[in-house]
Formats: sequence, C-alpha cells, structure tokens
Amino acid sequence: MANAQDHLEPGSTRIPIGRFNLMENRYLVNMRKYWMLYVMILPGIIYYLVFKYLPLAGSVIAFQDYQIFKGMLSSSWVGFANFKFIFTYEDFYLVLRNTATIALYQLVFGFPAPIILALLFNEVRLMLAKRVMQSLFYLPHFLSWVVVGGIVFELLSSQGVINMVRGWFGHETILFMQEQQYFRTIVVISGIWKDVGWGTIIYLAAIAGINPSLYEAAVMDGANRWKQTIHITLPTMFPTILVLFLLNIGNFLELGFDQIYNLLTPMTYSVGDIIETYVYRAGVLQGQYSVTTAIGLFQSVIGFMLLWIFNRMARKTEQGLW
Amino acid sequence: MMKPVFGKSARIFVLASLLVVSILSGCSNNGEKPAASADGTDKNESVTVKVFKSHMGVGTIPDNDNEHVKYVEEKTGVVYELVTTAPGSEPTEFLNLMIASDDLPDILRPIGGIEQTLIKQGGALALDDLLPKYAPNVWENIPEEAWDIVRSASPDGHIYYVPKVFLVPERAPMIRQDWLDKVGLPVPKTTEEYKEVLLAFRDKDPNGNGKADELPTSGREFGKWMDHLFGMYGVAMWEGVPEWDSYEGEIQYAGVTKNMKAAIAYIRELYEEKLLDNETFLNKGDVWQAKINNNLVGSWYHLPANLRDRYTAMLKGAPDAYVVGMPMPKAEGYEGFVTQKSMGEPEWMIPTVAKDKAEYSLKLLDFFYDQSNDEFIRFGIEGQQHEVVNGKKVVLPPEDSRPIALGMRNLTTKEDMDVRIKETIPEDMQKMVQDVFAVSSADARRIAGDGLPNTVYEGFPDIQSHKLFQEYLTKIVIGEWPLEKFDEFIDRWNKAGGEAVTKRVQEWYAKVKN
Repeated sequence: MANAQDHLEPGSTRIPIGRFNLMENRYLVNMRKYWMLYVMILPGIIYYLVFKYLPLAGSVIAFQDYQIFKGMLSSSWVGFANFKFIFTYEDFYLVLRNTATIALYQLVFGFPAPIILALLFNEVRLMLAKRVMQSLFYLPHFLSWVVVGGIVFELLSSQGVINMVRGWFGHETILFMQEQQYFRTIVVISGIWKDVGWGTIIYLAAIAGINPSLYEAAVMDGANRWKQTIHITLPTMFPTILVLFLLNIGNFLELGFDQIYNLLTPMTYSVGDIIETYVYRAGVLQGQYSVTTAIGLFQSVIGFMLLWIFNRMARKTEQGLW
Repeated sequence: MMKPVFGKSARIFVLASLLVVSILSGCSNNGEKPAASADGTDKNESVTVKVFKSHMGVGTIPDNDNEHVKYVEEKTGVVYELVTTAPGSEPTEFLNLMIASDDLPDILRPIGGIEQTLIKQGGALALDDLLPKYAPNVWENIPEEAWDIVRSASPDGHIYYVPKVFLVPERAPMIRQDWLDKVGLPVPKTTEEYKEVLLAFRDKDPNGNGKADELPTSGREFGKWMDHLFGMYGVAMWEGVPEWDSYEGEIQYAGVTKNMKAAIAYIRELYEEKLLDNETFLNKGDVWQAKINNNLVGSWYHLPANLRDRYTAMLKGAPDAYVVGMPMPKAEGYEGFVTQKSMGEPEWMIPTVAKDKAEYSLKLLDFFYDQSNDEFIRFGIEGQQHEVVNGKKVVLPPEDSRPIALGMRNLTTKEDMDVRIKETIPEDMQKMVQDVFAVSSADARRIAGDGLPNTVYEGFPDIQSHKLFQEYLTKIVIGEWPLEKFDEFIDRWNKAGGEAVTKRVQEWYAKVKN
C-alpha cells in the first residue's frame, strides 16, 4: 500500500502517514471480526453492480444508431442526433409537461401520505389491531398495476360503487375514466392507495428508534399525544424523511410506466401521456433503442440536477445524502 | 474513518465488474458454437431444430421423448424443440432479448415488427432459392401474389419470410336474431334501419329481464372491435385501426377520409342516444366479452370462429338465443364492406446465424404444409391432442397438464375453414357459424393496403400507433369535441408525419401493383 501514501496530499494532517498502515490493519481486523455483516451486504453490492452500474455503460447507445445485431461495439456513432429527435418531437413538451405535473402532484400528495399513516399507526394502542391494519395496508403493494388498473376501472364504471353512491343522491352517472379532469386525481389516489402502506415501513422503523425517555420527559412536562407527535416524533423522524425525499426527487421524472399505461385511455392522452408511455410507443413498438435510451438519460440528468439542488439546500439545515 | 474502506471496496467493485463483464462477453461469444452440429457427419442422425413461437396457450413444452415430436422426427428426420416466451415476459421483449444475447432459434415466428429489424440489419436469411428446394409444399400452396407482397416488404426484393395467408374473411358483423324477433324487425338493410333496430333493442327489453340494461351495440377501448360501424361507410378498419385503402383513386389512410368523418358522425349519434354502449371506450376485452355473454349486447363485430364460447354462455341466460351475420347496412352514398386482410403478415423466418440448419428448418415447415399430413396435424397423438369417441377422433381442449403440439401451418382456405368448423364447433352450432361466415364473405373485400410492411412508419411512432386518431375518434364520439375537430385532426396527422408515411405507402403500392 505504499502508493496509497503517495496519493495523500502534501501537508494533509488528517491521517498521519506513520499511522496509516496501522489504520488499514485495523479495518482488516474489523472486517474479519464482522465478516458476517460483510457477507450479508454482498448480495446488495452484486445487485447494484449487475443491475445498476453495469447497465450504465449501455447509456452510450444514446449517442449511437444502435443496431441490435451489431451490438454496442460496432453500431455507428451519431452524436446528439437522438436528442435532437426528441426535442423536435411535436408533442415532446406536452409529454414533458404531463410528466412534470403528475410528478409534482405525486410529490405533494403522495410523499406525505406514508408519513401521516405511520404517525397514525404509531398511535394505535392495541397491538393486534395495529398489526392487522399494517398487513392490510401492505397488501396492495404486491398487486400488479394491471390488477389495480382493472379494479380502478371497475370502481369507477357506470355500475361501479362510486356511481352507485352518486345514484342514491340523484346524481348523474359520470364515466370518470374518460374525463380528462379526473385523470391526475385518479392517478395520485390510486398510487397512494397502492403504496402508502409499504412506504410506512421505513418511517415506522424510524419511530421505533426514538428514545422513550424523550416521551417520558415530555409527559412530565404535561405534553399530550398531539404535542408529543409534533415536538418529538416528527422532528426525530426528520432526517429519515429528508433522505427519502432526496431519493424521491432523484427519480422525479420517472413515474413508472405500469401505472399510467394501465389507467390511460385515448380520451385522457392530453393530460396523461407521459415520457414512459411515449418511450413505449417509440421504443418497444418501433425498436428505437437509441432514442429511448436518450430519453432515459435525459430523465436521469434532470433527476440528478434536482437531487443536487435539493441536497445542497438540505445541507444548509440538516445533513444531506452526501 | 470510513474513507479507506470505501477506497478499498471501490477497487473490489472495479475488479468484480471487470469479472462480470468478461463473463458476459464470454457468454455471447459462445453463441456461434451450435452451427457445428448442424451438418453432422452421420447422415442418419436426426437434426434438432429450435422453433420459436409465442402465444402458445396452455400446456407443457414437449420434450424429446414426446410422441408428437417422435412422429415428426420419423417423417422428416428433424427433432423439433419448441421454444416459447418465458412465463410472464412480453413476447416482443423476449425476442429482442434472444437477439441481443445471440441466442436465436433456428426458425421463428416474428412478432411486434421484429422481422423488419432482422431484415434491415442482415439478420434474416433470404429464402428465394431454399423454399422451392426444401419446402415445395410451402412454396406451391402459398399463392404467388402473397410471395410478391413478401418481396415488396424488403428493400432488396428478396423473400425473407413465409407469410400468413388467410383467404376467407375472419371477422363479421353479427346480430341477435332472437332479439330481432322479439322487437318484430327484420335484419336491417340501411343505416337508418340499423338505427331503428338499435332503438328497439334499447327500449323494448329484448333480453326480457325487465330492466333497461340492453347495450344495443358495443365496442372496446381505443375503438376496437366496432369495425361494423366504420365498414358501413366504406372505411377500411382492422380491429379499430384505420387501414390503407383506395380512396378517390389513390391509396390513403382510411383515418383521414371523408368516409371516416361520416362514420364518426354516425357513431357519435349512436353514442349520444345510448345506442352505442357508453362505456365502449373503457371496455377491456373481458368486460366486453362478458357483456355479450350475459345477453346485454344486440349487435357486435367479432370472429365467427369464436362464436362457440359466446353462444354457449348466452344460452344459459337465453335458451332461445340465436346469432346471425348482418350484411353491412347500406349508407347513402357510400360503399360498405367488411375489411379483409389476407396475406403478407410474417409467419416464419430463419435467422442468418441458423443458416446451416435452414434445410432442416424448412423440411420441418414443409411437413406442416404437406396436405397428406393434414390428419396428423389436426389431431396429433391420441391421448395428448385427441381422443376417440364412438370411433371418431375428437380434438382435446388445451390443458395445463398436456403437452403442446407444434403447429406451423398458417394457410387458411375456404376448405380449411369448412373443415375446421366441422371439427371444432359442436354440431348444433355448425350451421349458425357457417351462415355467419357466408354473410360476411359476401360483404368482404381485400383492401389495397393488404400486406403493407410496417417499415413505412419508421421514425413516426405516433402515426404507427394511431394515437392521434384514437384521441380524436374517442373525444368526438363521446361528445367532448365537436365533429368539426376532425378537420383539425387531418391537418395535425399530416404534419405529424402522416404525409411522409402516405408518400411511402403510395410508393410501395406502385411497386406491388407492377
């Protein structure tokens, strides 16, 4: 590890050169001691390597005229032609606007939902009731959007529950799925319904980690449950919330294809056609791998920029992701 | 504190990823190996041919010991190994994956436009010389016209695939005869009469359950399966997708014609008066089917060959149900027809990498096009594909536990259809189905754009997916937009690439015509 020393900046006082080898040894000892933990993290590392880092290299096809038979190595390079194609696509701004709008709604309404639910779960006194409810809330997460989409269509059909209730009050039947003004609401609500329970898991873990003595002290000071929630639970959860928020913002433009595709009809195209559904038409139906990769890259760049901005902001108050 | 550890793991990461990369590239290099076994030294040994076919339905994949496989081997010297989409994966993606991983089958049925990717990138084998030599039955049974269309689909005019040929119309407008009897009206002859019939269906409770729940006619999401309403106005429609046909002397996208505007105006009227199921554009396939099965729909457009299941379900609720084919009602000033597409869709192709086995792949294919094998192809092996009842062979319905038998023939003539009806439709329904076919055959017309390759859409995914058309169609029909918006659609369609695509189609048509 001699060259490791060379890499240290001159004048660096953080790690005294003499102690470096000793430090390294200590980590080796540490690794040997906790080898089980390292083994446990291995699948995660492999997962990220194989499914996240390796495919990153595939992004180069965004700058190629990718031919599936020739492969990445022998396809010809076209520079920014694919990006030009996207930005001159007639409906690109419509698609981008729809994506951004729905993403914003999902962030504003969808992001706080699991936090609120986790706080509510936390207040349930009866352990059995809490467990049962948690399980029930987790369930929809495991349904595919094809199924959930079917349920949504059914609930909102002319014979569906919503229209039945409207009928009791003498209201006319509304075919919600073909009215564009309801589309985004339906997307956000169905999204919350499906994943809110799943989203509470991390928050519940954070809540469970709060030191009980804080609550005890608050009770001594005469704080009721509400005050405890506002002044203890929420602030201690805040770092967790922040991290999840930042992770969320990194995927801002990636709404996921399944949900929208299964809820979309031609009558709601004008508000519901998003980047993913366009990619589906261009990529899967026409085999334009390069163009769709370019779009994916564009989404990631936007996501990264947002992440960077919000992370900077976060660091001013709390700690950010890095 | 953590920094050195990260540094170290970063180095491990790099090493590990290098390892993975080398493993992956190692895999793809292996792809070239199997060719060697093809021209096996021992001539008596059978050759294994990998056949890819998606949408196989239920059943197990047959192994080498399967009797069906054995029988085919005996006759052709080829052992077929059936490859199909992995459960839960999308067939087009699966095919793409096979291409990308250099793991192509020896003969495959392309889907999702993949044939053009193969042809353009030199991945498809030209079959012009091989077909007459190794697959004479395929070569002779498929009409010359179909081969011409296949030639027109490639830039160099070669034959790169064996086309699907369907010489009878597959689809038909149908109407409930028992409902007509109940409301006391004859089968409608004009669009006005059709509307009257629908009105009567709506108001006179033909299903007799005392509820006004009848949906006089219905269709599916995206405007699918309501082609009869377009066909009356001479619009070439294929499952809700406008096709290319001759309008005013030139081949045109049916979606932007006067005929289409007239059809939409009529459909809009039907919708407004609740004669067309108001949930048409929200109906998923199964919902639509259930509505027909449950005696809620009076008139619809579908495959007569599938009528058996619909009808069996109907009989449960309406013992006197009867379905007849409806001749296209005449619209004033328009020439109505049932759209027929007969040929050109790709059915089988051989990848260039499987060149060495092409001879055997074609021999296998030829087996299925050889008329003398008809009985075996239809009935397969006793106990697996058919059973003998009263000395007659009866085809078994597909089941999870039984092996699938490979079928490769996709050539349907009138005779084939008659035989198929006799074999797959119960006796008491045969006449009904035959009559429906007879009515739709009389109205059927092959459209000018039959066999059009999808390369004409290249670079214009929204034109290919008919997205713009679907948006305007649905919004105008449900009354959210006025009919006048249709002119805006024509304009936008042309600008979004429709004009360029039309030019390509006209060039293609000129090529085919000569």
